[in-house]
Amino acid sequence: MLLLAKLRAARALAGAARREATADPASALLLMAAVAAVHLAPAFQFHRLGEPGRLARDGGLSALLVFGGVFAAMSAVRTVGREIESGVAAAALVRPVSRAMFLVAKTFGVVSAFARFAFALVFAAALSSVSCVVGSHMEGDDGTACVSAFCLLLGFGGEILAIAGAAFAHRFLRRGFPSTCFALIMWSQVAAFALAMLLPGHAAALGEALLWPFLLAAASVFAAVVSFACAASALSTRLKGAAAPAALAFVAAASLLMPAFVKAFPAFAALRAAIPDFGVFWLADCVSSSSPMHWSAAALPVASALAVSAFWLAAGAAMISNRDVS
Amino acid sequence: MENVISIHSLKKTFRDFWLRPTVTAVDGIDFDVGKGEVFGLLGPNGSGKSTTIKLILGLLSPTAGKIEVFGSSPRSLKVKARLGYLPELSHLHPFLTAREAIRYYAGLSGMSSADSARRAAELIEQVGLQGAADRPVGGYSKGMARRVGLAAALVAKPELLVLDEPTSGLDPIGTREVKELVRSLAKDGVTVLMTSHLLGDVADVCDRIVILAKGKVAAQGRLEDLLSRRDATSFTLPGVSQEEAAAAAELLKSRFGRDPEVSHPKISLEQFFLDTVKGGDAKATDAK
Repeated sequence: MLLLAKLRAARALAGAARREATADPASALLLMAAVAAVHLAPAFQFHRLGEPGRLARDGGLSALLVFGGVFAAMSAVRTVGREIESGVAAAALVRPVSRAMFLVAKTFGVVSAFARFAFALVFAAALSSVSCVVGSHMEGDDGTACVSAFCLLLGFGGEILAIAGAAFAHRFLRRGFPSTCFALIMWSQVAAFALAMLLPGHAAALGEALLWPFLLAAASVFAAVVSFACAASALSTRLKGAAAPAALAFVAAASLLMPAFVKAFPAFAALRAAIPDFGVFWLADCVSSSSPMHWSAAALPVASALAVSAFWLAAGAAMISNRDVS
Repeated sequence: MENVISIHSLKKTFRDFWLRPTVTAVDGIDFDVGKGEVFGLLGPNGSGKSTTIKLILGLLSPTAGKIEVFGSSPRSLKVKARLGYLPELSHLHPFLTAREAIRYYAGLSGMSSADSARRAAELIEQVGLQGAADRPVGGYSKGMARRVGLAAALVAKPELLVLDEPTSGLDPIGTREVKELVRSLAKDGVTVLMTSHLLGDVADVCDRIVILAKGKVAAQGRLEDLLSRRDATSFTLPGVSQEEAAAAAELLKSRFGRDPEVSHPKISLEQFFLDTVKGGDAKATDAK
C-alpha cells in the first residue's frame, strides 16, 4: 500500500515535469527548428555524399544530439533548479515525498518529454532518408542530389499544419500553444511517415534507407543525451543562476572530448563512469558508410549511458538530501 | 494536552557559498503547540517567522536545538503525510487548471486517481472555485490562486495545517470564510499554525500566539491573557440613554472615587463591511 502511494506520488511528479518541459515556448521552438532542419537539409544538398540519405541520417542524429541536448538540459534545469529557487519544489517537498524520489521522478519526467522529442525526430529523419533514397532514383547524370517532393511535402508540410493546428486550438479551444504545438508536431511526423509508406516505391526504399542501423545509432545518441539530462538535474540541485548552465557547458565539452582523452590517457578510464559519452556518434559514421552493424554495437554505449545516469542520479540525491529548500 | 509541535532552543544560521555565517534568522526559540489549538506566529518582517515555519516543515535544517512534529523529525515521511501547508505565495504550476493542481497535490499525497478526482470536486466547492476550476491557474487573480493553494493544503485531510499569511490577497468575504474554516477545522481536532500581519485576523481565530522579534521570542501565551487589562473592568449595558449613562458614571465615581470611561461598544470594520454587503445583497434581491 505504501509502495503504491509512493508510485502515485512519483507519477504525479514525473507527469507534471513532462508537461512543464513541453509547455515551455523554447521547447516547441527547438522541436520546430530540429524537424525543419532534418527535412530541409537534404533538400538543399547539391552533391551526393557517398550514398543516398547520408545527410538526412547524419542530420537527424546531429539534431537529436545538439537540439535534444539543449532541450533536455534546459528542461532539467527548469524543472529541478528553478523550482527549488522559486519555491515550487518546497510545495511538493512538504508532502510525503522523499528528496531522492523528487529528483528521480522529475528527471524521469524530463526524460519522458525528451523521448517525445526524439520520437518526432526519428520519424522525421527516417522519412527524410527515404525521401533521399527515392530521390536518388530520379537523379540525372549531372550529379545533383534529388529528394522525393511528396516526402518533403508530407514532412515539412505536416509540421506547418501542426503549427497552424496548435494556433487554432489556442485561439478556439483555449489550449496552451507550446504544449499543443509540441504534441502536434510529434504526431505530424508519425503520420507523414505512415502516409509516405503508402506512396508507390517508398516502402521498398526503407531497406536502402538503412533504417535499422539508424535506429541503433539513434538509441545510442538518445541514451547519451539521457545521461546528460541526469547530470543536468543533479547539478541543478546545488548550482544557482548562471552557474548551472556554465557547469553543463563544461560537462558537454567534457562529453565530446572524453573519448579522445581516455584513449590518450587510459589511466583516466574511470571518467567513463561519470561523463556522458558523446563519442557514440561514431555510430553515425558507421550508418553513413553502410558498414554492417550488430545490435551489440549500440548495446554497449546504452549500458554505459545507463551507468552514467545512475551515477548522476545518486550524486544528485546526495546533493539535494541536506540542502535547505526555501 | 498532547503536543503536536515541540521546539526547544531552536537556532538557524544561514551560510553563504563558502559556509561563512551570514544571518541568524532564529536564535534559540522555545514553544509548543498543542493538539487542536489554533496557534499564531507573529512578528515584524525579518523576525524569523517564515524560517521557523520552514524548519517545522522540514524544508530547512536547524543549526542547533530540537524540533519535533508529532514526536518525530519533521523530515519523516510519516509526519509529512499528516501535514498540510499553505505557503505565503501560492507556488502553482501555471499550465495546470485548478482541478489538475489539486489532483496533482492529491497524487503527491499518494491518493488514487478516483479519490483525487472526488476530493478535488469537494474542495473546489468548499473554496468557492466552481466557475473557474477548469481554467489554467496562470491566469488567476491572487485571491483565486490563494483559494487553490488552500484547497491543495487541505487535500489530504491534514492533522496539522500550517498557514502562512492565509488571508493575504483575499477580499473580506473570503477572509471571513477562511477564518470560519480555520475555526471549524480546529473544532474537528485539526491543529492550525498560522502567521499573519493582519492582527485582527489572528485575534479572531487564535487561541495562543508567540511574537518573534529579531529571531527571539518576545512574548507568548493565551491571547486572552496577553490582551486583557487586569487593572480595569468594563461593563456593557444595552438600552441605556445618555442621561442614565451620566447618572451611572456619577454613581461609580462617588462609589470608587475615580472617573469611569463611558463609551459605546464598537463592531469591527470587517463585521460592518459584511453586514453592509449582505444588506446590499438583500436590498438588490428585494428590488428584483
